[in-house]
Amino acid sequence: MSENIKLEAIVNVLRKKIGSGNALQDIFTRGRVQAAQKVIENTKEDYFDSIQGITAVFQAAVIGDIKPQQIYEATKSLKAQAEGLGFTFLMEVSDSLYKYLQGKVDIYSENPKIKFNKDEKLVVQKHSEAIAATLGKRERGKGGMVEAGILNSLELLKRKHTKPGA
Amino acid sequence: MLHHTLRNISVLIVDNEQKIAELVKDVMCKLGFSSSLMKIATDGYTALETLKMHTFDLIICDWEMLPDDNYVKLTEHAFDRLKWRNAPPNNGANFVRCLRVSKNSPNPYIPVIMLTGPTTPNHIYYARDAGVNEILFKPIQADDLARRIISIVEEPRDFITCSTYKGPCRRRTNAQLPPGMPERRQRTVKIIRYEKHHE
Repeated sequence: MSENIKLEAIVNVLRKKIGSGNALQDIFTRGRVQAAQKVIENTKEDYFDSIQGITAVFQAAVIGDIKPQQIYEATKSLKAQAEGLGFTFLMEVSDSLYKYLQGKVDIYSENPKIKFNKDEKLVVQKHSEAIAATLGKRERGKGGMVEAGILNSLELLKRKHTKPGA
Repeated sequence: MLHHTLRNISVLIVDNEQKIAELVKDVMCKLGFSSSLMKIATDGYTALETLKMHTFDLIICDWEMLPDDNYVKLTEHAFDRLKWRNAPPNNGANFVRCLRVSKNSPNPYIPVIMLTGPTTPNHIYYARDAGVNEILFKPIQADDLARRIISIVEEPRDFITCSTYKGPCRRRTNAQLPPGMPERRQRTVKIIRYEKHHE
């Protein structure tokens, strides 16, 4: 019974705050939704200029300066941000690296430590090359045949350098 | 002034990506919500702590927030009642599960919109079984977000409590229940109906 009373109060608060005379469809007008969508479009437009820190991490990795923890954090951020903004190829290539790195780190540890061997460094470097090039080109979409080929190659490279059963 | 009707609704955004959390906040502001009544929590554990200190009317939560330093604390909290083992490595759904079932939950009935990138059936089932009200697929689109909020407010589903689930009714259609189900429900399930609000 107490749960009933609690729920009723919560529902009433939410509905009362909006007002029963106001249908939400009328509040979320076309203009209001368009203004909200404009915020998303502006974020997409400015995105590549706003992630210089992440870009620098991948550019350094391309020339062999690979800092595992930095790469891991940058990949995680890039994947989440690209996913949220709908940059399909950027999301796919960072997701590929993220999944690879997840296999190298104990995600349940409070202080995950990552060390790359020679093969792992190669996989990370090749992914970083693809990511750095994508960021340089400001590719926002899914890409074409070339991008599909890159993803395929990275997948094959991961398989080649992954021990069976690992 | 219609836009004032959303001004006093408080929203908690749970996302470990500050950029995306800020984007959601900005989108909500343009939809008419008040910036000052929106808070951002960077993981499920922090969200639970924030919920204990402040009252919120709506939660927008990301699916994938792992790994983070608070995960261990969150899982201990989440498993305190239902022993929800074998959880996949995310804490968005775990957070919602914890919010719904935990004895110490600050508000088990609060509506939750889950933002998710992965769209496989397993992800959907998992979020649904965690007690999520609405699922919003990425990339974020303003009209999709608005539609989810409308659905929560205009078409609230019964709140179900049973031994294995606590959250909004997972049946979205009005299809007739299978034979024997109504009787079984009466024995094992507690259904809390939403009251129709009249002025």
